[in-house]
Amino acid sequence: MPDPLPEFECPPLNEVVIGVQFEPLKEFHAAHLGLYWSQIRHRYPFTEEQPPLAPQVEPPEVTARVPAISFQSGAFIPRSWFLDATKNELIQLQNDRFLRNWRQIEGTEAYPRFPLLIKRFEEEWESFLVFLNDQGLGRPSVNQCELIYINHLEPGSGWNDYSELEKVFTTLRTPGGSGFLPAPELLNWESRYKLPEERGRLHVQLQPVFRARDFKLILSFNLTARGSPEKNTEDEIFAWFHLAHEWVVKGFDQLTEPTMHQLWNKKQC
Amino acid sequence: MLNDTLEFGVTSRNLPALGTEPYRGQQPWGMLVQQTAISGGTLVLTGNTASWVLDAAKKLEALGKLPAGWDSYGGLPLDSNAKMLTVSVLGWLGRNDLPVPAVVLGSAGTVQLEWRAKGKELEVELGKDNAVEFVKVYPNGDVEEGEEKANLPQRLRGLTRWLLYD
Repeated sequence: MPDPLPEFECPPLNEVVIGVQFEPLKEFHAAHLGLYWSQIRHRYPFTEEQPPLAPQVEPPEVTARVPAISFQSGAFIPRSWFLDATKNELIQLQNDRFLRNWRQIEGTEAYPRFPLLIKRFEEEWESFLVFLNDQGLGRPSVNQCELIYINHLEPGSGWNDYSELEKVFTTLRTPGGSGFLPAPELLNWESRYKLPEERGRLHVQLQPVFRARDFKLILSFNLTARGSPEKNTEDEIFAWFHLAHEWVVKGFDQLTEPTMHQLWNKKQC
Repeated sequence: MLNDTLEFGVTSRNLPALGTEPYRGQQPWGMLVQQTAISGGTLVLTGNTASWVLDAAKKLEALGKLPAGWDSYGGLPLDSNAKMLTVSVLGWLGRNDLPVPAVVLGSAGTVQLEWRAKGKELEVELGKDNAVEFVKVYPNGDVEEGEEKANLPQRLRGLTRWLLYD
């Protein structure tokens, strides 16, 4: 039996994204976005238009990145957001992406937990597959899956400024007064870890952000697992998501300090 | 437009090194767009973020703590759309070498950003309807007012170009 995952009653989670990328649907037109919305509008009554996301693939070996300019042939198809009545949950759709987000709006909403979010994603994904089939668009060929956890760390909750980040992170110690350097003015940190059997990577990122909802300067601690399922089947896709979830949760647990875990009410196994 | 406002720290220090950072990265989308799968609501600060953005964010952070009635005349707290628009504006202009703006809260919950450079003054008011009202004060005292509702990134960059270069 696998080790139980660490569990936090009050994690600092602000947003969770569960999504798949697939080969572009050649016959998918902007009108299909509206057609799809008409089927889910009773549950997702609001819509917004966003620029499409660029394709993103996690390669087995990372090569040097060069600036790239992409040209799109044919008509432009945007990315649509379909938001539920609370705007806490949304579906993002474009001709090669299907994502579902849960997010805080007020900052006080309780995290619904992964089992519920992955269940809702699975239901919406299956419903989308039925829609594609009904429209004669075929079954999408999934080439990447993505699971993103966005944590918001506010000063005053276990740490006060950038000189105290060793109170939050097990891998970070920043200057802060006693040595030559002052506390950093800004701080960005990235690391990446290989998932087993070349099933993708876990990317960890710490970045300062200015949050619109309350005009607060905070730290965003992002864990992104990205990779491809072994086969384009529902079983393999969701097996990948469960592996990704394990890595995100155990990674978060290992990279953050036990004193912070107490603040987040980590459950004792 | 500029009545009933609370001044929150006027400064025109950190005048820019003019011409070092031209207006690049034209944003083809008008409003509050997200270029990632994350649905947003934050402005990421990186090593390329201009110092004035960080300074403005600190001023806004202090403003954001003001309760309703902050001006003793029933002044409203910051409107959520105005907050989102303000953060977007900082993002659109964040790679431009502007002076640190004065940050002012309007009694309707709006946000004003005020820049002064080369004897000119530019004031933009960011409101709840995602519109931007602006006032340009020329060195000779002439005043020009207007409102922008579309193509805001380009329009705002045009206004700051007037402030810094024209």
